[in-house]
Amino acid sequence: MTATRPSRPLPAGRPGGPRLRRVLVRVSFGLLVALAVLPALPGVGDSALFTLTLMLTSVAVAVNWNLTGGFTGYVDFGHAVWFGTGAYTTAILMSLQTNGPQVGWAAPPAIALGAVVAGALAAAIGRATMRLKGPYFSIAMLGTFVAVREIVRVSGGLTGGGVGLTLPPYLNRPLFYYIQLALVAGLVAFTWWLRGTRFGAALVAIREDEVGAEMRGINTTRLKVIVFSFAGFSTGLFGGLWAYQNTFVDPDIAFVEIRTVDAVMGTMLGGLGTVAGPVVGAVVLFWMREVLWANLLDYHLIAQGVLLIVIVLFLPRGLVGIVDPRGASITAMWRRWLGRGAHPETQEEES
Amino acid sequence: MRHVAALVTVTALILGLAACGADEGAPAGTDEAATGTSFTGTVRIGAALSETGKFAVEGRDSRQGYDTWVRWVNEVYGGIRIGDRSYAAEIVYYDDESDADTAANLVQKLIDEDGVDFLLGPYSSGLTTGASAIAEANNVLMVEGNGTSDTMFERGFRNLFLVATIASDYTKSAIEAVAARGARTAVIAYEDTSFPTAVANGARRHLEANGIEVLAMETYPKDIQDASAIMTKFRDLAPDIFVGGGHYNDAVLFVNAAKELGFVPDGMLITVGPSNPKLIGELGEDVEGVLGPTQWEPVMAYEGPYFGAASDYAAYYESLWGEQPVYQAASATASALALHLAVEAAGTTETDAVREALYALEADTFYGPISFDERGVNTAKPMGTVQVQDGKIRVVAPGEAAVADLVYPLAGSSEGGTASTAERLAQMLINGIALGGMYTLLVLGFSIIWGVMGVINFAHGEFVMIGAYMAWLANDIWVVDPFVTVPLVFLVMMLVGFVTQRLLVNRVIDRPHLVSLLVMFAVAIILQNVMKVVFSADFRRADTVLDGVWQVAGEVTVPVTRFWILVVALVVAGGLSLFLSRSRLGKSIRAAAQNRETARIVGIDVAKVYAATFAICIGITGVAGALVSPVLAVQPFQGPPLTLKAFAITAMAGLGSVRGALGGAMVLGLVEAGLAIYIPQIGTNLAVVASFVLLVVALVVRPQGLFKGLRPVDATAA
Repeated sequence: MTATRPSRPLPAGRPGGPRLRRVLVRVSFGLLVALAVLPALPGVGDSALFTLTLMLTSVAVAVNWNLTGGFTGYVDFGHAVWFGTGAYTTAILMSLQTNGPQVGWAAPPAIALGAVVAGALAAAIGRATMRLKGPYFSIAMLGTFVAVREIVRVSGGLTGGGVGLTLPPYLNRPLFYYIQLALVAGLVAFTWWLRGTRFGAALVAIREDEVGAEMRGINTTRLKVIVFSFAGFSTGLFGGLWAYQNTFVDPDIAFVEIRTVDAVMGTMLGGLGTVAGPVVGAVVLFWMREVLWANLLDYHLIAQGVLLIVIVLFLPRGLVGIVDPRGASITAMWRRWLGRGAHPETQEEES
Repeated sequence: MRHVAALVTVTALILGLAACGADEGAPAGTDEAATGTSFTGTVRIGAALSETGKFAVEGRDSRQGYDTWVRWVNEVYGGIRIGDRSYAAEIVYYDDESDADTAANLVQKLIDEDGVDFLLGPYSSGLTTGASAIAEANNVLMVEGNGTSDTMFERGFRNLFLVATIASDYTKSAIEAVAARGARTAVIAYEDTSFPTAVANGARRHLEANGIEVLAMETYPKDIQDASAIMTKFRDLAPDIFVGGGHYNDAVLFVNAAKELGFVPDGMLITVGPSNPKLIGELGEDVEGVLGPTQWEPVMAYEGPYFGAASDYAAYYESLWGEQPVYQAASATASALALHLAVEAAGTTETDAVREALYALEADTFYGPISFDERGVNTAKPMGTVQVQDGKIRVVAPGEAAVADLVYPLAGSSEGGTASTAERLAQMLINGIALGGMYTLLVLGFSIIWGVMGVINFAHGEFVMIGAYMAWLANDIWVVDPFVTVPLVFLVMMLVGFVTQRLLVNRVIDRPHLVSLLVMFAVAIILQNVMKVVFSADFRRADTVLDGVWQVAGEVTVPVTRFWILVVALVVAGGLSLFLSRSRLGKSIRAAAQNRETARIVGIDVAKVYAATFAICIGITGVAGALVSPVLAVQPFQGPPLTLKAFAITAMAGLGSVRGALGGAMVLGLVEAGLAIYIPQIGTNLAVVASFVLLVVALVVRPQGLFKGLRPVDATAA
């Protein structure tokens, strides 16, 4: 029993024919251009840009989560720990004090070092936890998340304890929007490129059959830890950016479970283990919440829970799976609910 | 009757989830100015307030406070007078979901999209900190009364004003009052977040200034469910005064734990809670004599030209909302009033002029005097102190506002001396074993389901929670003891388990672990929020006659309720063990766990066995919930930490192993009790993470598990 298999074993390399790929690339570029000119449009104020920046943050976290959760099949339930680590490192460096006046670092090196610290910590912790399989890895990471949060909370001298730290306020919404847009675009392009390399194929091989991959001479531990640290680094980077924009951090807002939950849900919704899946899913989830906010209030989490069940039961390959020509039809979904018909990902499952 | 209605609502909600969205009109929106009076224009004010999330209650009180001012300005006062014109007041609200990120973004949205002239504060220091930074950066004034942490006013902001007393002065009048009556020693426990830390540091300063020695300061993390470890430690120090605090729910925990442990200091001062009549409703006599600070009470002798006296304000508020105002509401009204007066004094809504007018403001109001210092803090109003006397909230300090005499020391306060080393060790062991007994009962159902079916029930804690709510309801409506409710809870929860298994679990059981994990996780989210919609997030407690402590030797005591829980846990574990090894069904369950296909071949109906397993396990889990309802706070979000503990114990001790569950639970109980008692100051924080550290270490060091269970732990095998 091991990690999930979200789709039929696919041949290494990128899925979809060359035509589909060309369409996808064009759509992506169009989208990028549209997002780039957006701030120039009338009626798009700081608040709208801030909302979009937060959305880009969720997209980035989901894409990073998908690197381990989707590609290697190691479902990380504590991914938000890297976000918090990046945020806190940035905040600590920027709010350094000597007898009163702040003599903190400038933002760019602080954020960069925050990402490095998150990546290094991910490498260290990943070396221990990535030996665990399936749910054990998941919960060990959840444990890591809770433990790091408590460590931050009780290390008051460095982290400000439960009170947290205040950063010098600098609110330039368009700047952060463009920085994050560029980073997210780069990240998605990187993931897309990675998926087509031998390295990417090896990651998927780990998901499909780790023992087999090892037998073929792939150093699975090394690959897993590398991709895990990269995901930590990248999420830490967005954590640092977030901390600077939020102007303060405390343990309960920097380390918040919902960030992991959103990454998992967004990726599941969009399509686990695909390049576009986490992007599509995170965007849909983000906007759904914005809409649910206004109309459902108390009920939005209930609705989110129902949605998750629906995704898992009916759309195991996510929204991206629908446009895939091999995707499930409505009748197949119904049969699945009735318990008949095979699940695409369980054909070779044992218990 | 209300509870019956609530039950019906739960059922309706579960049945018709899809239907409930569309027509639940959105509470967020604007309060239109009253028609009738003719206004030249509108002064738009924005506020992000918590309608959902953990501050939903206080958020609603704050909103009613703001709306009281809006109604009064537009309908009674005749609009905000700027020059010789009169403007209608309008407040645009959004729900910040008790989330700091959301609050900050909503403030940005209020400024950019709604074009508000001014801002009023959200509820709580955490939310106000971020929201005020946005206001500062955009140069929009924010007046607030419900975020009082000192750190916010050390940032040199020029756009943030606080009408309430600042956090570090919360306990001042109470400490002065008890010091005058001879208090000499004190202990402090506080939630390790912004506001409680500021209150606690202030309390320490005021205690020391009044010659009271602080024997210990303990922190605890947000969302703890059980304060008994801290209280055990404190009881053994035998202080005169206990000072504790965080938020309303913590008051329930502290009073509960003190009662459970027989800890009665001469005075108990709890930061938030005692001034709220709800606490008396929930805890009854147990809260008698408890002291608490209050920003404001209707009986206080304050008076001003607006709203009249404090009692007049209360009467007006009650005519609008049908309930007495709590101080959060009065603070909200006073914030809006201060802004209103400054705008009238400035004669414009222009930010710089209104800021100067705020600094210059000297007003007497129903809320007390208002005058801001250079930080933007109202230093003119002292903090009041209330005491629960004969089930009523009475103001006992400061002298000028008091309506009753302070009762000190409390009746029946313990004479007890400090505990010896041996006594502390004995107490630690007793606490650990009692905790272990509780964990055993809590983990059994989880462990068997995982061991037999390979399903990690991520909604395990939520089934505990439902059991706890059932016991609490029965206790509240029919005054039935939770120990008596057990058989009924068991049967009902078996049915719940059966339905859940048939409807959901069965459909995902053949799919990878992650799928069932996610489905149960979704069930957990749904159950938490359904219960929150129905019962609110307030902490509840059931009463049992099996309460109090047995004094065994010296300062060592055995908590009675936990002792009986341990007894039940051992009986259930023994019974379950016999059932699995002797009965036909039990043997089938073990067979299905070991090899499903072979079990099927020899004629076992595996689907039925799974349904039976799930039903029995959820039944036991519900019973665990019912029994802990007098000990742990009953609340919608009590589940997740319990699920995680169950996971840690099971993965450490072996899947589906009754003996392993017992052993693992005892180890965890003892480790937590040991940390909480022996590590000063941060012991309780560490106890919270103990289960994870144990889990990770156990898995990494010994991935095959410590005990032999129904199926191997195999944490590293693919």
